[in-house]
Amino acid sequence: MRKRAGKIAVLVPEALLHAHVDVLLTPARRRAVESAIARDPDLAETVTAWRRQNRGLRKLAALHTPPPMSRDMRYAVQRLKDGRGLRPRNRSTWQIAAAIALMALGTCLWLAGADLSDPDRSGVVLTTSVPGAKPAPPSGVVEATAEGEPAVVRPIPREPAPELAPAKDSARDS
Amino acid sequence: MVHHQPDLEREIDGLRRYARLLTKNWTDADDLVQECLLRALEKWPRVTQVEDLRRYLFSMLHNLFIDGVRKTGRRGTVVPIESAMTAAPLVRPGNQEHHVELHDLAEGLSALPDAQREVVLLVGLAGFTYDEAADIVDCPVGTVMSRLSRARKTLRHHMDGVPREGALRRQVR
Repeated sequence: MRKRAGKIAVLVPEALLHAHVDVLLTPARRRAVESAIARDPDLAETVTAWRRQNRGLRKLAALHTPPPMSRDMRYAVQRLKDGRGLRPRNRSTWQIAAAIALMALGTCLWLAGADLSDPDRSGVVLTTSVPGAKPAPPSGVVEATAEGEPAVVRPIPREPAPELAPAKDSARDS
Repeated sequence: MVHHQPDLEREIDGLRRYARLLTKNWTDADDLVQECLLRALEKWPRVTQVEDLRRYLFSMLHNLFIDGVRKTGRRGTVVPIESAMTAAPLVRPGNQEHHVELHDLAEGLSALPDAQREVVLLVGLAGFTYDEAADIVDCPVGTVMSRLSRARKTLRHHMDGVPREGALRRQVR
């Protein structure tokens, strides 16, 4: 209990005041809190303010008119109306199959020791095309071999570089 | 307890309005609700068995909201309150005081930390008990009470100009 301006006011725990505002008290407790509020204007003011907040929140919520539902939300609502759930949004079957195929291909290449960046070892020529650029000559030719034998890559002999004209200084020296 | 789909559908409007005040804009609010509904639909056979469907949905919405805040590291988009207020037919002659009060409340609500705003909305708007709110936000009841107390003091400060507890303490010193 506390004294205020010559009057005796009951000290009410704040949790009880909140519960009173939120209509969560038993009838007996509610009566006790109400009588305490009746004797203490400060408490009454606090309770009034908190009730006004709750009313205001409901008004604010009602104030904002929801925009039309998005297509996905309408779809979800339609599924609800139909009484159907949704299949878990896992990856589709073809996506899983493609992922497995890519993994298998990668594993096979790795096991075969293929090095796609070295055309002499892999027998595969990787080139990039640049618009307007002259295509690079192949670095090797895969020779046909008997069945069961590994492929043989024969390098293409490169043409010797054209001889350069002797430099002027060396010509003068000679 | 077995729920039926119409129960879930009935909650959509309430969820959207709650999420609107929580996230402060309709885009994020509807993203949250949509994700919540899709998850509920995916888990539909199990969802029908939950004891309290409404609490379950709000709890799911809370988790999605927290995930979103953590992922993006943002605290929601701040929408000027003027735009929200003018969008609704609230400003009418003779209703100015009411308008100002709601404006102050909205401003105070926006200024609250997410955790406090969430609790004050769950209790004051959605009407959950303190135990239910604690269950939804996954924290002790004492924490809910403390957040609610702080939130209401801040809102009162915005609405009535009553100094907050911290401000009072600073004045006394």
